[in-house]
Amino acid sequence: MKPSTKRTDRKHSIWVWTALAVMVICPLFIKNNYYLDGFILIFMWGAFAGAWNILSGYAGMTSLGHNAFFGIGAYTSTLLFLHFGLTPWLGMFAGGFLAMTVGLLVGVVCFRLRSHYFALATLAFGEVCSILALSWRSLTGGAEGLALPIEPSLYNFAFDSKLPYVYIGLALCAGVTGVCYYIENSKLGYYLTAFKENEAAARALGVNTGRVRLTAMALSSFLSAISGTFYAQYVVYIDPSSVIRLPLSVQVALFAIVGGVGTVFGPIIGAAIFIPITIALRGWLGTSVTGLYMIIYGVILIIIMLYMPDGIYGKIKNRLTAAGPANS
Amino acid sequence: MLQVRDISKSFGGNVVLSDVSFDINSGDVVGLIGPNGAGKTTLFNILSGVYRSKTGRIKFNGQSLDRLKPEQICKRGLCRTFQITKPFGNISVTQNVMVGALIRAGSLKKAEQKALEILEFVGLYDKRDTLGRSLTIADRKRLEIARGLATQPRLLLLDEVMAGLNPQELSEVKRLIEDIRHSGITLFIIEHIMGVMMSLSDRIIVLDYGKMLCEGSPDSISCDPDVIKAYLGEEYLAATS
Repeated sequence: MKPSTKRTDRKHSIWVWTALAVMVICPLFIKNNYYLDGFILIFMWGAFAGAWNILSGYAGMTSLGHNAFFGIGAYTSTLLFLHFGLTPWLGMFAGGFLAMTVGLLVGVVCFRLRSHYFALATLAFGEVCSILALSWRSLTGGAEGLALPIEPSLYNFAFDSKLPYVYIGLALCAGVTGVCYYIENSKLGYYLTAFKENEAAARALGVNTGRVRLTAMALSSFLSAISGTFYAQYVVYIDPSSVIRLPLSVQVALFAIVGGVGTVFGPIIGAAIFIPITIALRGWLGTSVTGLYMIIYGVILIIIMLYMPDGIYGKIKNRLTAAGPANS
Repeated sequence: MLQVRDISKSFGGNVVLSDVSFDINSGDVVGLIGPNGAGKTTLFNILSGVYRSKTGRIKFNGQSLDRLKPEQICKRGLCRTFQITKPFGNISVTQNVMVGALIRAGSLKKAEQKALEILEFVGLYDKRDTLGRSLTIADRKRLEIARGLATQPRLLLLDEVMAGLNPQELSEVKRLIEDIRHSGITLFIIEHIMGVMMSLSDRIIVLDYGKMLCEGSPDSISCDPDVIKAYLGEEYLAATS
């Protein structure tokens, strides 16, 4: 990590703005829905991975239960819309606050656990939520899921073309990145890092490690739920296997870890690299040999993890700091 | 400033501290010595809130510390360093110290200023951009002191900050401790190096097997028969007397 008060590299901000500009302009010229779908998925997963990263990366409390927060977001906004006609724009925040409340409860109970045990406890929590979604048929529709009526309007958070989704997704993803940037360059970020590095030392220096972790949990669960609502509005159909099952947590952890855990841009880079790979491999090989694309996907993953143990962004950052002039 | 009354601690059936009582006055440098396993670090752990005492009470500036957590005790102005140094390995030395400074500083900028001041003071300024994990033992000990100072304590507990240093480093740290004292911070120090303790401390407390053996000026401690017995054994005492 580069030593300076601004822990995020200022020097590379030009790249960030360029990337943002490219992402704003590019979709305007893409007419193919197949590619636009790719952009939307990257933004959605980038936002979700960024949210996951706040708790699991900065605080180092690896969660395998974020599927529950994503699902809470998707179900809450959808149910509020179906039953009360509440616009998903507000339902999204209702879901966010519900997820935050649940997240804080999970935190109060599970934060006494460390590393693997915390991961296992959150995994169990996620599974309970997913079973609940499957079994509580009167509320969630069980395995059949819930479909949103397709009536495009701004109020309904539903659109004819993919372009609005691209930009809403981009805004969401940029928002999450902004939160992460703020955290990294604030007291909270310092305290979370101190906790992650050495809890006893952090507490001896006056850091209330319980409270800073709960703050991280609150932000993380809230933003995960927002990503869940976005998914629901985009796909207009949700069921347990698409919004609340365990594989979501595995997927989101994978994007963040491969991209660079505990960094501002790592999770998004992870999503931006792996989603196109998944889509492309599935497109080329999905029909010829069943499952072959999964094998190739796995091999690519293993290679990246072997050669970039700090994640893709971690590797880039190390290169840049090693090559660039010293900051002092 | 600090009143400790009848502190006891046992792990399982193993009594580590029993009925320890003493006072520390503002501006003093008090040494805590005793053979290995005497309970010195355990006493620090109780004072800093890591462990709770079974009995007794601790008052700091008139306030009870008995039910407080480590972070709350630090905020009240009592900070400790660790014998086994615990640097935050993946952030710079400056950032390490900033974590301590942030509990009093309003902003990151102010915390950074404070951190750099302290690094200058303890002689780590040149290493400010080094990662915590790449420091040598001597520098890690300094970092412990620097982080402690950054929290702006009124009482600082130093746990063996001189162990494992060479004579050159030793005299530097000794000077640093004198500087800290002159800045008005009260010090409570665990150390094994007698020569240094004798010259630094106003008062020394001797622990042995969890009990207060005696307490007094360095001179009176060094000729106390109980202390000689604890350190050098009964035979030595018999042979010399």
